[in-house]
Parts: sequence; C-alpha cells; structure tokens
Amino acid sequence: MESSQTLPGNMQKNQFKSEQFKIAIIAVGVIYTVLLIAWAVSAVMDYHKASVVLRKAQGKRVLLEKDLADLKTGIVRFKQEREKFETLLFKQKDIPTFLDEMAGFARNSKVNIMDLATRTLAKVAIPDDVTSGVSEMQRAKMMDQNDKEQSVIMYLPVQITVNGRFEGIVDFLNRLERYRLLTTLTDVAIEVKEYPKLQCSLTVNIYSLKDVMK
Amino acid sequence: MPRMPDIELEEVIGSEIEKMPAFAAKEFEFGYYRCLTSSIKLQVIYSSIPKEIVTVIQAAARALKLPLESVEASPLNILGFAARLSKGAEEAFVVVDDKVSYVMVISKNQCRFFYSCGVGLLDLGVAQDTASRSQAYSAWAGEIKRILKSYMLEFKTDPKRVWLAWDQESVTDLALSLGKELGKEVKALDLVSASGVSLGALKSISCAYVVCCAPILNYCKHLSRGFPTVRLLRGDIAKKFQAQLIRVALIYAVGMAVVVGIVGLVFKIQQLNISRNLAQVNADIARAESVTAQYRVEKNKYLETKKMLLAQATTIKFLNRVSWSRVFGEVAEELPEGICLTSFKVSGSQRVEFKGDAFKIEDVSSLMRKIDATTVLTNPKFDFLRENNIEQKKIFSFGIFADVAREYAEKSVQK
Repeated sequence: MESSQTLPGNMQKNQFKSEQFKIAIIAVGVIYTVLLIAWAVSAVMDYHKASVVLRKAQGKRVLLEKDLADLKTGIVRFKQEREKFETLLFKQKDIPTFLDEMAGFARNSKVNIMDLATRTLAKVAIPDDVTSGVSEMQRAKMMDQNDKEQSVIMYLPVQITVNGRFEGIVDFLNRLERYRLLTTLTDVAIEVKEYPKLQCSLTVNIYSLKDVMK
Repeated sequence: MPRMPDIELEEVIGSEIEKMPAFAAKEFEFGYYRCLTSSIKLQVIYSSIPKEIVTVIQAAARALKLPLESVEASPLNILGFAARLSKGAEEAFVVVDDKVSYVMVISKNQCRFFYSCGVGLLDLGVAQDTASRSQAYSAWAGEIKRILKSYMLEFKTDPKRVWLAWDQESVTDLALSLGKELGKEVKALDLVSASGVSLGALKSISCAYVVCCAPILNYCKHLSRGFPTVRLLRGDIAKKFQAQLIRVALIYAVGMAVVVGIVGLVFKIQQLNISRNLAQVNADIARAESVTAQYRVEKNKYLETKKMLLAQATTIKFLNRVSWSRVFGEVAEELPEGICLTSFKVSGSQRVEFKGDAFKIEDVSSLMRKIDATTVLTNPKFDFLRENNIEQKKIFSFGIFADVAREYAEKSVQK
C-alpha cells in the first residue's frame, strides 16, 4: 500500500524556507569552498611560479659565477704570461748591468768600444699586417687602445762602435746576440780601417715593458 | 475518497476539518495519511489540532526543556499508549472530547480504523437527572457501537477490548455504560497513571489538553512512535534545523578555512621564502654581473694588451733576428781568394751591402754565386763595378746587394 504524508500550507512554507535556507547555505558553502580552494590553488601556483623563477635565477647565478671564475682564471693566466714574458725583457735596473756586461764582452772578445750612445726610448711599432683585415673602426679602436694601453714594449737603441779584428767582432756580436734578455742588432756595418783592424758600428736594441699613460 | 492530487486533497481535508464543531472558527493545523486502497480510491486518515494546543505543546516542551524533534502529535495522541496496552492485539480506543468522540482500532501496533462522531462530554454532562443521563449515555454508546459495527463489517474482525479515555471528573460511569451497550470489556484509560507522571506537574494544563501531552509522555516513557506524526512544530524545528545548519556550516567553514588556510599559508610562506631567496639571488646576480662586467673589461683590456704586445713582438721578430756572427762567419768562409771586402752594411730592411776590391771580375762573379749559395743570404745584385789603377795594377772596386734569407731569419727567431 502506497502511503505519503503531506504537510499543511504554512508548514510547507516553513519547509520551503528550510529548503531554501539549506540550498542557500549549501550554495554559500560551495562558493566559499571554491573561493578557498581557488585561493589555495593560487597560492600553490604562485609558489610554483616563484620556484621556477628562483631555479632560473639560480641557474643564471651559477653561469655568472662560472663565467666570473673563467674570467678570473683568464686574467690570472694573462698575468702569468706577462710575468713570464717580462723575464725576457729589460727592466730599468738591468740596463747598467747590460752596459757593464757589454764592456766585459768587448774585453773578452778583444775589441775596443770606440763609441757608445743611447738614443731616445721609443715604442715598438705595430706591423701593418697585424692591423690589416680589421675595420676602420676597429683599427681606430686598436690604435686608441694602443695609445691608452698602459703596457707596451719599448725599445732603447744603443749605438755602439767597436774596433778590432774580424774574429773579435764576430765573437762580440755573437755574445750580444746570445744575451739572456731580448736584444736585436740592427744597422750593422763593418768597414776596414787599418787592416787587419776593422771598425764595426751597430745598434743594439734592448726591449722593456713599460706602463705608458696616454 | 476518490483519488486526487495532494493540493486538492488538502483543500478537501481542510474543509472537512472546518465542518467539525471542535474546529469551527478556529485556527488549526492538520496532517494526514493517504493510503491507496485501489486504483481509484484513497483512504485518508487525518488529524487536526487547534493552534492554541500547538502553542501549549510548544510551551510545555520549552518548560520541560524537551528537544522539539521528539515531540510528536498524532490523532488522539494515544498511539504510543495504545500500542503498549494492546501489545499487538486488536483493540479499540475511544477518546471522548468536549464535543466529539473519537474511535480508533489498533491492530499490530497500527491504526487500522479511525472515526469521529459529534457527541462529546458536553452532550453527556448536560443531562441533570439520572434518566436523561442514562438516555444520553445510551445514545452515545449506541453511536460507538454503530461505528465499531461498521469496522467489523469492513474488516471482518471484532476488537476484543475497548479502552476508554475521558475526563472522569466531569462524567462518571461512562465505561460501565459503554460496556453494557457493547457487551465487551471496556477499561478506563488513565493516561496520567499510565504515564507515571504525577498529576501535579500537569495541574496547570486543562484536562481537556492532557491528551495533548501524550507525545511528551511518550518521550518520557520511551514509548514507540508507531503513528506517523504531523510535524506541527515544524517552524521551531526548522529554526533549530537552521541553527544547526548554520553551526555545521560555520564548523565546516572554520574547518575548511583552517585546512585550506594552513595549506595556502604553508605555500604562501614557502613563496615568501622563495621571494626572499630570489631577492638574495638577484642581488648576487646583480653583484656578479657588475663584477663580471669589471672583470670582462679588465680581461678585454688584457686581451687588447696581449694582442698589442704580440703585434709588437711580431715587429721585433721581423726586425733583425739574424745571427750576424753566423752571417759574417759564412761570408768569410765563402769569400773567394782575390777578394777583399772593405765594407759590410746591413740596413733596417734586411738588405746587406757588400763593398770591396777584387783583382778580377770573375772573382766578383764567383762571390755573387757563393752568396746565393749560402743559407743566410739570397738574391745577390750588382750595385757597381769600377776599375781603378793602384800602383799600376788593375783593381776592381765593386758593390753588391743581397737580402737576408727569410727562412733563415725565421729559423733564427724560432731558436
């Protein structure tokens, strides 16, 4: 037997209100839950985004640190190369020693130093083929750098005239060429004066590294 | 009744209730059972209660601090007692109200039959003399008998016992009169003693409304609620339900806020930490970029310096790194007889100038060939040749140019 119970009108009204209230509460609850979850999801998403940004920044920092370390290593290597290079060049204190030693070479080679004069200190020129193949702007920059550059190779020409026998002159030149520091011999000229005595004039260039301000 | 929609049914029931004298010109509430007896017929059992009684019930429930959910109102309000008293047997219950008498048959704890007649205590109590009273009692009992007979005809059974509930203070000997008329055992139903509640607690309530307290007594005595209730207290219950719903909603809201808030806050705090770390990392990056830029400038400067130094070294390399001692040695070794060198000069462009005297031109030619054959000089060229007579002898003054062999110069540089 089917049975049902029905409520009077005002009770239905009450029930209707209750149902409405329940639906309203549930709706508010759902909205509230959705908003809360949305907030939480937003927080999680923000966290995730921030994590990604942080990871990228940390990666960038690692690259920068590596780059910095490479730069430092490169600079240290350059300084070491420069120091090594400098050991081949004259320093200010080496010039008097060199002159003394040159006098010793003359004595040992049995030649007489007739004349010895130093000329003006000058900067070693850059050959054209080094700057060829670069643009005008780069060339200007290079030249500008060259002017600004603090470290340049300078050379001091020392003009010498010696007098002696051929073997002595050859030995003297040999000693100069084999000097422990970088030297070049230019403008070599040998003439017969009173045979077998010969007169040899030459220019010994001694090189040094100078810090030149523009 | 014929089968009809609920709305129409409620209108019919409402109009039926309004016809009752007890509810004439009164506000009332009602509820009903609707049972389908066939495909077209409905059996409806309805109950109604005046609004004022509902108010009394609510007041009593509040006074006794009873939960409103346990308050139930049913027709005659005695179903609990009836079920308990009949113990499943088929028994009739008659309740006499002021103007109406109700007849209900309970079987297996269910109300199988319900009927009312328009004779009440007021009709019975009006008669002053014994004869009139007896006549009124007899008429009332006859009406009850007729009702029960209609039940017997419909259900083909006969209730064994009749319980009678009425206001025994105003009308006496009603059970006896009914017993005689029906020829059955009729027992007075004492609601107060059956409930175990002292009368003193119910004194303030009119005896007419004692039956209305049956739900309360049901609750107190833990009696079953066999008869479906009409939820007259729906309004209060709804309020309570709403309050409870609000409480649950608040608990849910707080719980959710706490749980989700904790989750969200944890991530927010993590995000703040990340932001702090990010600021630190960005500061490190900015510092590193600044330092890197400085170092890069320095490195570029060094690279430029290195480039310039290498360029200058190249210049030195091409200057004159020829071993002049060896050049002179080779020249002296290869010098033919009959040749006397008077001058030997080397210009900055690596050009060697020989000057000398020879007795024969062939000696000069021989010198040029030997110069070309040496490893240190190459490309010999004549500059001049002059014939001189010195002490009546022909002497040839000559001048020769030659270049320093490039291969030799480079080897010297490498060494």
